[in-house]
Amino acid sequence: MPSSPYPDEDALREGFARGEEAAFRNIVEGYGGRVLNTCLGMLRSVPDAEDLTQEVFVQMYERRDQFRGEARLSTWIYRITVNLCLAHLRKARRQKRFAFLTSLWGDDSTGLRHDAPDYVHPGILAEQREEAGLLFRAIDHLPDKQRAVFVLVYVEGLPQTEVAATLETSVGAVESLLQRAKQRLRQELGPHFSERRTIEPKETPPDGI
Amino acid sequence: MKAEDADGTLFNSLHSLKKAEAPPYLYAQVRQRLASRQETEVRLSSGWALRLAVVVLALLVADLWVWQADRSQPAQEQTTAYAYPVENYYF
Repeated sequence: MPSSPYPDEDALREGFARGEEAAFRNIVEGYGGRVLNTCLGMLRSVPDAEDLTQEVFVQMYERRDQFRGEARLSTWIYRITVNLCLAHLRKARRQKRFAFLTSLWGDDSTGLRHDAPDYVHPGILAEQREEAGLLFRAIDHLPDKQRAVFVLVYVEGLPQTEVAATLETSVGAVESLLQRAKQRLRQELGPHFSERRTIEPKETPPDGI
Repeated sequence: MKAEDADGTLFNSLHSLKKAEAPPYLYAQVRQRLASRQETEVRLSSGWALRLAVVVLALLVADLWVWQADRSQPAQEQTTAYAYPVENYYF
């Protein structure tokens, strides 16, 4: 976080609640990267993720009087992010479903809705791109809540307690969603893993070296 | 290698991703979006106020016109033919 007059999160939160411009700027600059990465993990589209990142902070600013301070600031920001991402995914699915009907009326204002292209996360090394691409494509096929939990835990590295607070559910429910997500990913990526298992022993060095 | 290890390694490798960085102009973009949204809200609310004023004014004018027309027309005397019931007579 950049140098700021707010020594800790409580001070930042209070400053934000008082409507201080500096506090809002600190929040945007401090949490912008995390919000962007969560959006990228959920949406796999750079323009959509950048657009939603801005929208998260706009909504946060507009709803600042609704923040009661019971949850951590980061939890609240993640909650807005996940809700916006899920709403965006639902809207995209709806548009795709009704694309045929809207095309009959000649309304192409929304443009064509394609599946996400083979998006490559900026942090993925060249040699891992194929593998990560497979994984992200499989994540796309997860149901919304499972996808949110998986991204928050495995991409953002949040503890399950914070994920539970973010999604306003119990830790048990988060564990269950995560298990189901992993199970589904294993099924989908099964052939890939079996391939890895057959290849990897050849790469191990011989005994004694 | 067990399946659990293989996918565990793959899932856990997501932790080690170098994260994407938010653009340095993110705050400026957010402020710009907030400003344009507030401007739109003001324009919309003033637009609705204007439309409401036009509708109220139109109703007042119509009411005034009806009242004027009503006043300018002299009252006409009307004779009403009453038919009183007659005993033991049916129509």
